[in-house]
Amino acid sequence: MTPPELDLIQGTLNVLVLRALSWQPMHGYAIADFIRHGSRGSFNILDGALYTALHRMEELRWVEAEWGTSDKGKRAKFYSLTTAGRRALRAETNAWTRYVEAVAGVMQAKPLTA
Amino acid sequence: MSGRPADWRRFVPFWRFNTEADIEAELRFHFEHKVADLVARGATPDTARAQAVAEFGDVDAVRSSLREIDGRIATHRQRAEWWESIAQDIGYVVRTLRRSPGFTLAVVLTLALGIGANTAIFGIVNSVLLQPLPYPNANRLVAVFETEGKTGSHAVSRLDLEDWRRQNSSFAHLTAYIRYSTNIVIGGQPERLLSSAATPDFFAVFGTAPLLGTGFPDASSSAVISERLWRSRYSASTDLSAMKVLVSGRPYAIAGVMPESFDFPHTTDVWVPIDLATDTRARSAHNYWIVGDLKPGTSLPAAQADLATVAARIAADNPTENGHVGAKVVDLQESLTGAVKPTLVLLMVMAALVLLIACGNVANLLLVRASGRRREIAVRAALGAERRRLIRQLLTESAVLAFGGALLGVVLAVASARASRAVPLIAALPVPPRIVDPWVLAFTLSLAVGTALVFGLAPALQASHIELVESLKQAGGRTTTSHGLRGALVSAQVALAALLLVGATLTARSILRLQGERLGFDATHLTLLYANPPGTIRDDARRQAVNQLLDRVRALPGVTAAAASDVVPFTGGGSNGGILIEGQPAATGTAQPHAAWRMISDGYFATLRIPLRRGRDFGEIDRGGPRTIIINEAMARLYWPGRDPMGALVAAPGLDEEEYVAHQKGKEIWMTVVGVVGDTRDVGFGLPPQPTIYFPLVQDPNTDATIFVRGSIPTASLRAPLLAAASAVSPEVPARVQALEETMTRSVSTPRFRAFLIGLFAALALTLATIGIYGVAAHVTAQRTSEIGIRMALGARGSQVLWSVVGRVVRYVAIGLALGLAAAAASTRLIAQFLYGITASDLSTYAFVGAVLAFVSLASAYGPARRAARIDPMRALRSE
Repeated sequence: MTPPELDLIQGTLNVLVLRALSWQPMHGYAIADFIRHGSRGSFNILDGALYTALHRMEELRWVEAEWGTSDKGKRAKFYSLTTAGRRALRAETNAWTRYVEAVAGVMQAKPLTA
Repeated sequence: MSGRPADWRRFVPFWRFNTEADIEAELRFHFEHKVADLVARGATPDTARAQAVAEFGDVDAVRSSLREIDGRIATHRQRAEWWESIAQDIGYVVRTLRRSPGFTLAVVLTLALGIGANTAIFGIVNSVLLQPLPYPNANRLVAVFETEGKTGSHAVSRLDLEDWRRQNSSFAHLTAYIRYSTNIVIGGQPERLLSSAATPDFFAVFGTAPLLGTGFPDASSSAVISERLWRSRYSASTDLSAMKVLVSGRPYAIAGVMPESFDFPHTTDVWVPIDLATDTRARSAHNYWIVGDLKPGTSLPAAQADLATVAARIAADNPTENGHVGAKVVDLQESLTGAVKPTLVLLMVMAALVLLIACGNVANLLLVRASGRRREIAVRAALGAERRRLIRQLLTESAVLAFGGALLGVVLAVASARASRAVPLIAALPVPPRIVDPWVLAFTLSLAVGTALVFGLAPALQASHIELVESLKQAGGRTTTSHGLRGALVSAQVALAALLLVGATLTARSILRLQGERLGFDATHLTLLYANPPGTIRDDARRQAVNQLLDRVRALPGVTAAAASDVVPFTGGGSNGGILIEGQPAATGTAQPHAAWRMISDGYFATLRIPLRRGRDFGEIDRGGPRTIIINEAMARLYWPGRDPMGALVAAPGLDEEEYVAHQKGKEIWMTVVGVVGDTRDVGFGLPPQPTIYFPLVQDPNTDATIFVRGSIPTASLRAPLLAAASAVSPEVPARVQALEETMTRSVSTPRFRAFLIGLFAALALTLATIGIYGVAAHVTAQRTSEIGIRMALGARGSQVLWSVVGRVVRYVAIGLALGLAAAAASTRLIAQFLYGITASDLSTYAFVGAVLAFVSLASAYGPARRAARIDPMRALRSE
């Protein structure tokens, strides 16, 4: 494990999953793959946690599930965003951006006076 | 367990999805895909599998949390789906009902009458019997009475109360009160109001906080007033120090205002303190009503036992006066509502019966409707609707109808509660009835559900049970399956109607007997003038004032006679007590002679036209002379059987302090019987004449008396001159004029109102049952059109057909009538206590009800039967 792995801030997994699904409906494995590639392997996400998050969001009606056929011809459970999911994604993205900007601002700041 | 979900699962409602299988399938897919990808990138299958598991985490933990989440999702969806289908059913039902407005209106109205009657009565039952009294200490409040041997309970004497208070260990307080109508003067303006005099701890018993100020303070000249009086006469001013009130001529400061919820004794407007120490020490002077609050943790039976011990001790110490006097502790709510409870129970039962009849009718209508809808139902069943779903749909229709009926019923109940507020039976309730109350509405709601099941279940089960092919083949969709059920319904309705009619007839005949009974006095053309001089005018001055008023009244044109008495017939007033008869051994307890006491002026018997049987009336001669009394024949018969009571000597130790003191010294003040008069029924309709002593008012002038005026002109014409006469004698007194018959009407108004309600229920029942019978007769005719056609084609005569239809109805009616009359005979206990001069098993009443119902049934079956008899055979045969 050469590159240092970042611990995921709690709740961030949701926004990553929603973001993944904002492109197209995906099955669980594809979402895991998307996040792993997107973070260039930096996040230490257990696949199990991802499925738990998916089912929780299904309960919240942020995502809908439907059985379909994968590109390899197997039956797979596909998730897609609902309207509520899109709304949640927007809200979470905004929050996340503000957070990142705030942290970045502090990191680049210098003392005004000595 | 196989992880592969079967494809057919996609075609059943999704709550039947096997969530576990889905989870397994999803995880399996994940692992297969991941391992395949890793292998493609060069890993060996074994390392690939190991990496996939490592990157997944705890598979079992994830699996169980997924199961948990998916379980919740499935439940939510199931519930949502259920509601959605209910909403669909309701929407469908509303659409179909809208297409038959006549049917809908008939059902909703019928149910509204039944449910409304039940809601209105339950509104009273709930607030009066079920809810606690509106006082903080409600669960500890009791009323305490004295008992005399085994006979009823009565008020309590001062000394007994004082001994109770000292010796008991169960009561936090025992408070005494008297309730009376008084002249109240506020700001110079007189008014006749109900006031109560009570001992200082009165308000502490109930625990209700005053709205303003305090309860009784120590000062004996402070009164407490009701919120109603405070708002109406003091404009709700918060400055109590500026307020004054004259009660019976005595000035009081106002110490506090009690909130509207505090209504004890019922309809009191002013509470003034009483000082027991100034009252008579006669233990036989039962002057006070007692309420108390039990000490926390003390049970009613324990308090009863405690007080019984105390009473037994008092009895042992005072054998002559209290030898048979006991004490009885009763729950306060029970003592307040005991009188009205049987009436309420009876009305509740009757309302329930009416609702059952209404259900019968609605079930009938639904059956008719269902037989017309068989094709529709068959089509839906053919299209795959499950039987359960069809039943649910039909029950939904019943529920929608029942809720419509309940809604309208509540409106009717609220309206009738408003309209009946002034009816004495309702006004006398210790707590006003409330319809818009969570308990009452919950009751109505459950009635709606209950009725929907009662009238809807049988038709729904029957309608949904369909031979598909048969029904679809039948063009008209008529069948004959519902005969037995409908016949049973008619029988049940007739039975219930018979039960109600018997009750109504019995109570109506009682009322007639009550009103027709001989009173012993002539109540017509008698006018009452209430104009008591203020309490501060006493003795000679008071005697003069009353005489002056009588003289003026007698001199008025149109007045033929006038007299005064302390008791107005039928108002329940008047005192009574034990007496001693010279020459007869003194007896104690229940054996002690006892009589009702009346204070009258001269001319009373002439004014009321009570016949003087022996001796003379009172007159000037009785003033200041030896004490004299007049007795009635009931008393003469009871205490001087076969002997002449004229000249006999009688003493009444409880009459006043002077008599009592003399009695204690063993020197009775004997009064001579100077006359005997005819008996009167002056206590109330339905009560026998009681032994009565008339005392001359001139010998006891401080008693409040009402003026009785016999006029040759009506009360309305006498009012103005009478008020003018009263005002001339005592201008500060609020005078009132009323016809005696009016007060007497009030005394029968409760039994009459009860009879009215029972009659109303019976009329409703009869109407509904008639409609039910007609419906069945019409249906029988319609179903048998072709059969009748054949019979007539084969030569049957019209009259034969007519009687075959009527005969069928008569059979149902006869069964119902037999059941109903038997049920009435079995439930006489419920109604016996409301009857007067007639027994609950009165045969002529049963015969009458039987005849009425038989006639009504035949009449309502006759129309359809006649139509059947006129059927044209050819047309009837072609119509099928």
